[in-house]
Amino acid sequence: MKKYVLTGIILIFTFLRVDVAAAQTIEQLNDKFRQLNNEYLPTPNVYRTASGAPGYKYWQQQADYKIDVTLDDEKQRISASAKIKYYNNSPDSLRYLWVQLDQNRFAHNSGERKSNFASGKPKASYSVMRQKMYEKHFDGGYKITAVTDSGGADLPYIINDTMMRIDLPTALRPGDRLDFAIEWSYNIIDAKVIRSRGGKEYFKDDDNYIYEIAQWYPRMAAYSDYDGWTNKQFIRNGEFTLEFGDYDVSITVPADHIVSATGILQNPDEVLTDLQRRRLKKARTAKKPVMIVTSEEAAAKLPLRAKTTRTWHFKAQNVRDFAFASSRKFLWDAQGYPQPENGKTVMAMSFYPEEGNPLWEKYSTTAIIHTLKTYNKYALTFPYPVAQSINGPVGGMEYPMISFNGPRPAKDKKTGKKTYSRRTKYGLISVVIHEVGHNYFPMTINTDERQWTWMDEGMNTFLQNIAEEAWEKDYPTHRAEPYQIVNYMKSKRQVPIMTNSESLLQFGNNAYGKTAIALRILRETVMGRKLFDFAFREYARRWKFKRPTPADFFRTMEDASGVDLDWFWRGWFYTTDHVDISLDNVRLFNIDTKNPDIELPIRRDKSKQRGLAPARRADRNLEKRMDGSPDLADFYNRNDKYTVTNLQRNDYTELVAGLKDWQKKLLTDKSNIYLMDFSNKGGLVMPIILNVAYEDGTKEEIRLSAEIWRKNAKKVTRMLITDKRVKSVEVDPFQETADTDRNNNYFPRRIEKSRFELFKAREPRNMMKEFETGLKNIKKNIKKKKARTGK
Amino acid sequence: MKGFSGYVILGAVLAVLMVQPGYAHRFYASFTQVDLRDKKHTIEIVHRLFTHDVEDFLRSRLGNDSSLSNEEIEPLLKEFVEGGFAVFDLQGRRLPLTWIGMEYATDDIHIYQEAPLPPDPSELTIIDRLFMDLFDDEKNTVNIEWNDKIRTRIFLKGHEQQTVSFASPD
Repeated sequence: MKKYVLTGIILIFTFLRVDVAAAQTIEQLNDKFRQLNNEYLPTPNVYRTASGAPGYKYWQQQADYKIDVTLDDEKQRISASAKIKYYNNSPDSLRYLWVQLDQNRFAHNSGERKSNFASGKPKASYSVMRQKMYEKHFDGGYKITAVTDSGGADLPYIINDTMMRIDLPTALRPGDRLDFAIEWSYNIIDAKVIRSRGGKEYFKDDDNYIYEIAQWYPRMAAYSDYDGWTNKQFIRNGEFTLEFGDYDVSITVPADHIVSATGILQNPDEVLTDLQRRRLKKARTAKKPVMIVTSEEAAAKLPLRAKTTRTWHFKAQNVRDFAFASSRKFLWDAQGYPQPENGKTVMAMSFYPEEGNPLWEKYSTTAIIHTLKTYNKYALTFPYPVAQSINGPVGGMEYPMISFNGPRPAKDKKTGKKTYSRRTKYGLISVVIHEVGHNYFPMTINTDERQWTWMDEGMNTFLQNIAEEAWEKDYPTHRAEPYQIVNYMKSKRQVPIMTNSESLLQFGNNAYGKTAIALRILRETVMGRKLFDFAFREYARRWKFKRPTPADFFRTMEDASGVDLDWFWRGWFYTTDHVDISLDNVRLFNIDTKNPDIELPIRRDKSKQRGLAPARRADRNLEKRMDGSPDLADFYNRNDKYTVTNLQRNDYTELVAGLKDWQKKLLTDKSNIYLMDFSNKGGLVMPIILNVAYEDGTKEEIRLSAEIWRKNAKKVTRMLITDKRVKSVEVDPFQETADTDRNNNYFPRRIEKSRFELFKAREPRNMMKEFETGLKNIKKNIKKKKARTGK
Repeated sequence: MKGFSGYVILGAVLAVLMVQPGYAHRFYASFTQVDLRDKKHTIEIVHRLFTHDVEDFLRSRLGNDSSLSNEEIEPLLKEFVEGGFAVFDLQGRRLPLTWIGMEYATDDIHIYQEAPLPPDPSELTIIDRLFMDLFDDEKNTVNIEWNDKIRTRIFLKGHEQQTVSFASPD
């Protein structure tokens, strides 16, 4: 915590302090290519190497859980007990353990509540007021009833908001294991009232709930070589930093519920019917999703409401978390995906209420399989036996092998007809890809989410975009194309991507969008696909089931590709500069042949091209003194200053005589030499991509590397030698670098139409319609506005 | 501009949905670009709103199970934007914003407004409280651009009115 209190201030000082410390001269400070080592990246050690791989003494803790949990459908409550085995693999003795109590976020007086601020206006919407009232009365947070050692003796503990410290009677030495037990209960929040990552959803029509249960057990805080205990409080944005372990979880629910959970079901004979088991077997090799629980079967259960309970037993190995969902409303479909990479079949399964159809049965399970197929290619082979997608109250949230996804069709109250918009359809496919994709980042490549949102969200969004583009042609991607981040990149109030999760301004644009698009630019424009894809896979291979830091990623990408990327990381991840490369001028030169019989006539032509102001043009026709007096003319009137003299010819002959053959050849070269002047207005150094159009109608694409800026990051000139004559030059013709101002990308200058101008040009105003429909509203609005602004 | 080809206009009906997708965490944000155009003597304003936020707004107005046509949504959004976004000149006079129109992309809705450029636009005051009644942690970013100079303001609850000056460095 000492590390975090001052995060904001530290961030500001980081630049000044570090830059000044590392750079000796102002030239070094201006060098956008200077290396990150010793400045931003931590010193390599035995745990993390300078090449970005785990070191030979890399370690991480492990925590195994055996949990019995009961879901009380009447009171919507969780009660449970856990036996935890904590393995101290670190070289340190631990006198206490930190445990995460995430549900305490919803307790009265939680750190999050205490840091909430209001608008200061005497009004609020229904939904905000509903949440505030709910929070006032809802009894949230963990009720911890016991913390005991393996012998049943109480262990002393103290709860600090969302963290619990358990004090050990004797220090847990390196290599030792501690067994202890916790018992707890808590009330499940209504996730439709308080937006969160889990909770319940109530369906009035049939008086039933869907439960999505997450952050539901005391989870071991991470202890790492680079951060010690990660016990920064859970406020809202900074998600989770967790340890791997094996889970053995028995979930007791009403007998007619269907349960989906992290891991493999151990007792299908006890909880599934013969028919369901047969269908599951069939689904394993099916070519499309098979219904395990049909719409009719689910509907038949709704009015019955079982009074007895049933226990579903799941086991999961080497996961960093465990979540589950339960409801009698669930339909269930499944399809096996035989992974060509390792020959193992993954069961892709979806659970959703009738309300989710016709959308869910059509797309969810197929989207899961599509995700595995794509991510296996670019990251690592999916390591788990199951991948699931659940429809409930949560908009989109990821856990190992299970994800909660919100989009659902709309139902017309009168007709009962269900329709869904284009956005809902693609919203569902996108969110399933994204949340299932999180199985790779951070569930397998176990990044520290509480500190670095971009490491899982940004990398995942990057691969999500690739998966979406592989779904269908012209898929409506959202944060995929460089031009989509331009407005954000040029805005002034930003923080760098390398900012702690809780201090991020504009979460989505920063951690998701800018990171995903930076990686796309790196892949397509800077490194090329071959080098990037190998290095990215190498990062995934090195850190599979381990915990990488940003430096490990930055170092690995260079280490595996042989491309110096420090300038890229510096610009895109440590600064808020943007890309704006201006083509200021294109100048044409031809080689001076030195031959007076060629050069002087050219100069004469040029002098004649100079224009005259209109008022002076008439002067030329006025009578001149010489007109009537030819005798005034002499040698100088017959020869202008461009007349070639013999002296000049002799000089030329002498010059040529002294030249070597290759020098003579150069003098007669007819090439056009163009000097293109660029300036860097945005600050980020980037490759320069040019489209040169020639007067003969041909075009040429020229790709210059970012290193062209290495001596001067503000201005650079490039020479182009060609037999043809250039008609126009365009910078970044395919909009692949997120250049923010395209008006300065052309020579000759061309003005790009703005979005506003394009819209206006496309849709001329219908004044009559505007007048008719608007009048009533305008009056009302003016009154309202006056009331609101007090003017 | 290539930017347009990537967007697909929705069908005639934008169904008002019960559930909003969001990725892992939802972030409440809108983006507004304000361009001061000397030559045209106008201020061009483009708001980019996330469709799921707009759906939440419509739901808060109309309840859960409604579906509306574009023609029905536009006046509601017009009232919403005009009630939550305003620009004032140096003398504190509110600039009249003309509604140019709106268009749908899959995840975004773009809204276009226009105003006459005041004689001295070097200082403007902006009120942006779009969605702040609905979402506690709404963050609205406004870029104001004049002669290649950009000023950015982020509007939060409690910081709903802000002034930008082009006369002094930001």
